[in-house]
Amino acid sequence: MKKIIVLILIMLSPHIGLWAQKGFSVQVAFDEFSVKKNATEVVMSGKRLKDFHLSYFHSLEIKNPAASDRQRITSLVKADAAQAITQEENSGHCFYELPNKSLHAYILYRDNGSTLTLIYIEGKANLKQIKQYFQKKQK
Amino acid sequence: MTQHDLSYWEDMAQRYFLAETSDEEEHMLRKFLCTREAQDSRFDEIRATLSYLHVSKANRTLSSRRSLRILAIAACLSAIAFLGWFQYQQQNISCVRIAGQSVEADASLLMEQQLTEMFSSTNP
Repeated sequence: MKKIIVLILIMLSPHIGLWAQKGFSVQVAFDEFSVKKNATEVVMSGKRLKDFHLSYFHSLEIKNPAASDRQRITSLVKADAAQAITQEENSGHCFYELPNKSLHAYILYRDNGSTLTLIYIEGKANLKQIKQYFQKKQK
Repeated sequence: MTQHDLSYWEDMAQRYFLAETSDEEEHMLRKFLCTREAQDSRFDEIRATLSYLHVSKANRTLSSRRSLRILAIAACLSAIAFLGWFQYQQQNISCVRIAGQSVEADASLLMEQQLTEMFSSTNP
C-alpha cells in the first residue's frame, strides 16, 4: 500500500505546477484592478502562445489611471522587482525577470501617462527573443 | 483439554452440527481437532466441515482486501485523471475582460498589440 501511495504522489507532482504562478505581488494588481471601469485584462495560455515560445500571458491595461491606482500598482511591481534576477528600467518602461525554476518569467511595466500597461509572461523564450520577435513585427 | 475423553469431543461435535455449541466451545473443538487424539475417523466429518469453513473465511477476507485495494487504486487514478483534465483546461485559456466582464475579442491580437507597444521604444 505504501508503494501505491508513493507512486500516486510521484504521478501528482507535475500538477503542483498548477499553482506555481501565484505568489507574485503583481497577481494582487491583476485581482484588484481588473474590475475597474477603465481596465482591460487579457489572459492567455496554451497552444496559441506556442509560436512565441510562451506558456502564459496576463496583461492589464488601464486608460487614464488615477494617481492612487498608479501608485498602488507601482508599489506592487516594485515589491516583485526587489527579487528580480535581471532588470531593465527606463523612464517609460520597466522589465523584470523573476526567479522561476524551469521557465523564464517576466514582469513588463509601461506607463506613458495616458495608459498604464502591466504584463506578466512565462515561457521558454527569454526577453531578448521576445523583444526581437515583436520589434520585427512592428517593422 | 486432555482431561476430557474422546466421547466428550464426539458429543460436542454432534452438538456443533445441531448449532448448540457456544463460541468458546467451537474454539476448543478447533484446537482439539489439531491434536493427535483427534486423528480418529469419528472426527473426520467435523474436521472436514471446520476446515472448509476456515479456508472459505480466509478467502473471503483476502478477496475483500483485494477489492478494497482495487477500489483505492481506481479512486486515485480518477483523481489523477481529473487533475490532468483540469490542468489541460487551465492551459488553454484565452479571454479578454473589460471592467471584469468577459467580452468577445481576439486575445491574440490584443496580446500582440500590447507587446509591440511595450517594446516599441526599447533597444533590442
